[in-house]
Amino acid sequence: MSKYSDKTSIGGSKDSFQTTHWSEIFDAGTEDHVRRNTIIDALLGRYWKPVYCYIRRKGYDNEQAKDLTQAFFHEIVINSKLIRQADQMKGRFRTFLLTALNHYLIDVHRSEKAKKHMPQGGFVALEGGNLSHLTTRHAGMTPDQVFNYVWATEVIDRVITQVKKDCSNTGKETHWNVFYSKILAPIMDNRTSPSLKELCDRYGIENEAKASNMIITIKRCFRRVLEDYLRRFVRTDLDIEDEINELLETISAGRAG
Amino acid sequence: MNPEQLRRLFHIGRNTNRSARKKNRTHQKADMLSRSLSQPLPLDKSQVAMLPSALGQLCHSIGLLAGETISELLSNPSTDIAAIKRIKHYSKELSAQAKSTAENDVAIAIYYTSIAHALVFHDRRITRFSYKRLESSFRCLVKEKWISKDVSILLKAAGRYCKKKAGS
Repeated sequence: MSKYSDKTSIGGSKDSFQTTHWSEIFDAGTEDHVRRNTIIDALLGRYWKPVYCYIRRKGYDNEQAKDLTQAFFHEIVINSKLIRQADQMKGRFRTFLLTALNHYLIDVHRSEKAKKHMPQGGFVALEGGNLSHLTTRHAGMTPDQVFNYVWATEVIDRVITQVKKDCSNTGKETHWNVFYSKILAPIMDNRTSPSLKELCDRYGIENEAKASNMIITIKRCFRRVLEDYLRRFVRTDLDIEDEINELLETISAGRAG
Repeated sequence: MNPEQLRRLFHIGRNTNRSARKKNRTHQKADMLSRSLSQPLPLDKSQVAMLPSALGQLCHSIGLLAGETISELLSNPSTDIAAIKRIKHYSKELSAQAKSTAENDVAIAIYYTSIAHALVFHDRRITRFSYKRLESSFRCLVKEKWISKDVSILLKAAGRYCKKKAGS
């Protein structure tokens, strides 16, 4: 019933949240090519969408944007200068990535560096085909806003997928169905929210209080999963709220745009 | 997903308790910054140690008598550049001794404020950071709610200064 299945080629298998984040990138100044490639693949798998959309918004065509996206992730791991240029004071992985991307495109513009750093054997296909559909919704946004907006969309997408998976793993399929029908579907599909009575009848739940508790349980799970996901990109737990606030500001800017 | 849908989905995951704690932390940091800025700059012990003991004693007395707070030194356009450099150095010590992220953030704020003072009032760059990077850092700090109004004004002025320099 949900459009959120676990099967997607984007961002890896989504089996669980991985742990690679920017502290690992700082450690990645290694000559170990296998390790490097693992990090590049992991970064590419998780973050290619906002990077690709940002580059498209900067005026590059589909093919250029795909190549530059991959070249950027090679560059970020190989070239420690990009890492140094990123202002660590800001302390967040998203901001770091955006700053590094901005520096990278300036370098590309100056020296056509993308060609110099093209990996041996060329690039692997990024989902293949034309990815223009990803960028059609961002008219009126700046490249930075596009990056953050796509980032926010990815965060929510991954959180919902993970919550569904957690429910499945812990035998809470009915919990998920109630939560999805009452909370998610009305938001995502612009449906009218069904009454608790309707949900009890639909899923064979004893009473409305129990259905209500199920929703509260999954809301808590949603919150925990969102925090677990964002925790990897911030310095301390208290910065999670800042990250959410910034993403909400970005979303508001997108709405205004 | 459209922006409204995204906004509503993020709100499901918001932790109101964390939000309240965040507000508290902002107040705590604002207090911490205010306390740090209201302290006089400590005497530079390494310099005093180099002087004969009698002269050192005199310097110590003068140092204590001078007693201008860091805030006063930073807000006074005529503060000597050497004193501003000492504040910058002192902020590095504070950062090295910081026991929490909040303490470190406050030390960083003082560090950048001293650089801002040197730029705005002395037309001097007392760091190797580029104007572009400085402008970005000033902009980042100004956004923080715990930064006091006086400091914020100085940082904004320094940001404009750097933007102009970076563009020229």
